[in-house]
Formats: sequence, structure tokens, C-alpha cells
Amino acid sequence: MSLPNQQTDAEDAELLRAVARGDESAFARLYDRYAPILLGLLLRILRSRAEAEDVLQEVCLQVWQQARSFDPARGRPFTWLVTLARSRAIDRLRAVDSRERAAQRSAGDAPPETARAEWVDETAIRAERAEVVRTALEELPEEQRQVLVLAYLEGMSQSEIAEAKNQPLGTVKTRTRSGLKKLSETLSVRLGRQFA
Amino acid sequence: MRHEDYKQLLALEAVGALESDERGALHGHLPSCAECREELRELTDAASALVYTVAPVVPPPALREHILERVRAAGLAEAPVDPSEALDRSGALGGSRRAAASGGGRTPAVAPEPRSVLRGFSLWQLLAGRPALGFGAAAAAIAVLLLGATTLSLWGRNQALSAEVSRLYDRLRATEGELAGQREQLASARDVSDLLAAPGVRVAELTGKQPAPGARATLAYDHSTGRALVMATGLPPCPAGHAYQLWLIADKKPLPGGTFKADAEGRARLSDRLPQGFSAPAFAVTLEREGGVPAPQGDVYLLGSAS
Repeated sequence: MSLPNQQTDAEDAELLRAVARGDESAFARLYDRYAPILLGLLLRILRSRAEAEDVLQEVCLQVWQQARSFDPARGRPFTWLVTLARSRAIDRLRAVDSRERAAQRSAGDAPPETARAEWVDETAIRAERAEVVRTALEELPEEQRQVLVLAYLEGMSQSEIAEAKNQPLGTVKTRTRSGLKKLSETLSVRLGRQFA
Repeated sequence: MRHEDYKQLLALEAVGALESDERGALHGHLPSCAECREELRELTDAASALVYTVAPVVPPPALREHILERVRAAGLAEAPVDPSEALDRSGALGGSRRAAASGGGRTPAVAPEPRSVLRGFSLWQLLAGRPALGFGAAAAAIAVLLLGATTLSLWGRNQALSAEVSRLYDRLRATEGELAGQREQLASARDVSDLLAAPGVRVAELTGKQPAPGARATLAYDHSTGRALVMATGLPPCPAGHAYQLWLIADKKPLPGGTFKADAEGRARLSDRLPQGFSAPAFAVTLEREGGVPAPQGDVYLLGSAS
């Protein structure tokens, strides 16, 4: 399954290069390819449609203006885009941290995973990858999976997780490391060296 | 910290959970450690895969259009010829200078690949028998639009000028004779004539085709940067889910430009960044689905060329 991934990475890198040269149609293609994934992530983190759409705009402008700084030798375009989007969302989360949101997060319970069926609209390749990732995640021990979700999708810091789950900081650290390394290995095996 | 301690921080960093002092320490270590950088990269790839547990949400078309418009505006703001600079020099405006976009000099857009899909739509047929259209006498009107497109927000603050702008804007709906009459007044403005004198600026007049024979448009195209400004009148309103799309036609191939809609009075304005480098292009406006298409499919509403 590695070939489609390499192709997608190469295409994405080419699109980003074109965007760095000011090519608006390349930007539009990149947008059409990734905006739904990014908006889904932003919605998950921010839990507000208005804020998610706001941050999507910020992310798009940032991609447009900073495409030049993307270095394919240092990582994959998908990771760059997702990391950028997640960072902006966390910034917004921390800037506008309402009492309601803080209460939600400190409850420490990850919301139910979204239904598999919702990925079927996406291209076949991505739907397949989504399935592999979900399965790999489900194979992790519960407490490792939880820590990863709380950190990445809820935007909680190490000490916030430790407090919410009533665990020592060290435990959070080791569970994050074990969980993420296992996930990385599993995905490498099932999706090829460079996945997602 | 020992090296092993730094390694323990990598996973937390990859999922974004590392806090400030440990984060600072790790980032102090990374520049000198390729092993940790590589492992961080792998772990960050794995973390970003978590995105796949979230359902994608397609943004509404209006948001797409808005974002693409903002991106275009951000691109234009970095272009070398900025009419708002010309206005500030002359002291014609009291408003503050438009903030320069960040990012430094951006190279002009690269022309997209030639379309290999040739379809027998009306646009192609018209291309085959393209009439020679002369240089419009509405250059002065274009100058107003070129200025207006980038400085409307500033002009809004200056009441005398905004009254002037709306007055001139209304006049543009009149016949070519009236527009020519305006030319003397506007040409006397030093900044306007500077802009028109800029090398590479071409002005084209587009005439309405069958669906809207009364439609007209004037278009200015700077072939060195690809910046274009279109001012159209007499356009019927777009049906729901549709928009007008601009095309630059070179070597009989239409290259896609931006989309726009007409207002209640049938007027429309578009500031766009087209492929650059074409010295004698033709232009067309077709009706397409909202969001634009890569090759023209709908009816042609306006057609013309620069000389």
C-alpha cells in the first residue's frame, strides 16, 4: 500500500512548491484535497463551527504565505498541514478558553469515536487509510490510546492529562511514548514506510 | 539532562502535550541531534495520523470562495505596482497607508499547464471566428477601477472621495461616449496616468454575447504580473449555485481565472491574478458552477481582446 502514499506525498509537495510560487490554482487544488480533513480536525478540537471556519481561514492564509518554508526533506506535506492546523486550533483554544470548554476537557473522557461510515465519502485511498489507522489505534491498550487522544485531539497538556486522569506526570510521559511508538510501528508495517 | 531524558520527551512533543520548560530544553537539544530530530519526525507523522479518527467536514462553497478571494487579495497586496502607494504620494487621501502584506517579494504566478481537454463548446467555436476588437476608449474608467479595487477601504473613510467614486461608478453604466468624456477629467490626475503608462498594461473591451447582448466589460491586464481588473455591466443575475468565471485565452486555449457575481444592477467587479506573460490575450466570461471549473463548460457571456 506504500505506492499510493508516495505518489500523494510527491503530488502534495509539488502543489506546495507551486503555491510557494504564487500559483492560485495549485492552492485551490490543495484546498479541495485537504480542507475537509482539516475542518473536521478543527471542529473536533474547537467544538464550534464558527471558530473552526475562522481558524480554517487563518490556516489557509498561513499556508499561502508560508508554503515557501516547507522543506520536503524534513517531513511530509500532510503532516505539515495537519500540524499547522492543529497548532492554530490549540492557540485559539487557549486564547478563548471558556469555562464550559475547561469543564469539558477536565472531565477527561474522550468523546466517542466518530462513525466509520462518515469516511466513505472520501476517496477510496483515504477511506482505506482511515480504517487502518482506526484499527491500529484500537489495538493499543486503553490507557495509551486515551492519552494520545486527549493530547492530540483535545489539546490537553501533560499536566492537564495527569490531573484529569489522576496519574503521575511520569506515567503520562511513558504511556504517550509507548502508545505513539506502537502506533508508528503498526502504521509503518500496514501502510508502508511513509504513511497517511 | 542526559540524551535518554530528551528521548523521553519526543512523544509528548509529537502530540503537542509538552510544556514550556521541558519544551524549551528539548528544542535546545534538537539542533545538535539528528537521531532525535528523525525520531521526532516519525512520531509526528504517527500523531498526525490521528486525524483519520475524525470525520472530514466539507466546508461550504461560500467559505471556499471567501478563502480563495482572501488568498488572491493577499497575493495582489504583494505586487510591485500598488495604486494605493500612488494615491498616498499625491496626498489625495487622508487615510492611513494600507499595511504591506508580510512575506516579502513574491514571484508572479506561474501559468498553469495548457489544457489538454478540448471540448466542442460554444467558447471554442467563438474562438475560431474571433472578431478583432479594438482598444477601448474606457481606459480612464479602468484607472478608477484599478485604484478602487485596492483602496476601496481607504476611500470609504474619505467622504468627498467616496462620493466622487460613486458618482463615477454610476457613470460607467452609460455608453462609451460618456466614458470617453470622463477620460479627460481622469487623465489629468497624475497618478492615474502613471498607472496607465506602466509597461505591460493592456486594456480590453469585452462585448456581450447571445445570452446577454447588452453586457459590456472593460478589463485591464498587466502581462508582467498577471494582475487583472474587470468591470462589467449589463450582466443578468447568476442562478443559484452559479457564478461568472473569467478566462484568459492564449493560443486558443482558455486558462481559468477567478469567479464573480453581478449585483442587483447587473454590475460586477473582479480583481484577479491571471497567468502572466501573454502579450495579446483574449478574454472571456462564462457562466459556470459556483467555485469555478478548470475548463469552460457554460455559455459565453462576454468576449473580447486587448490589442
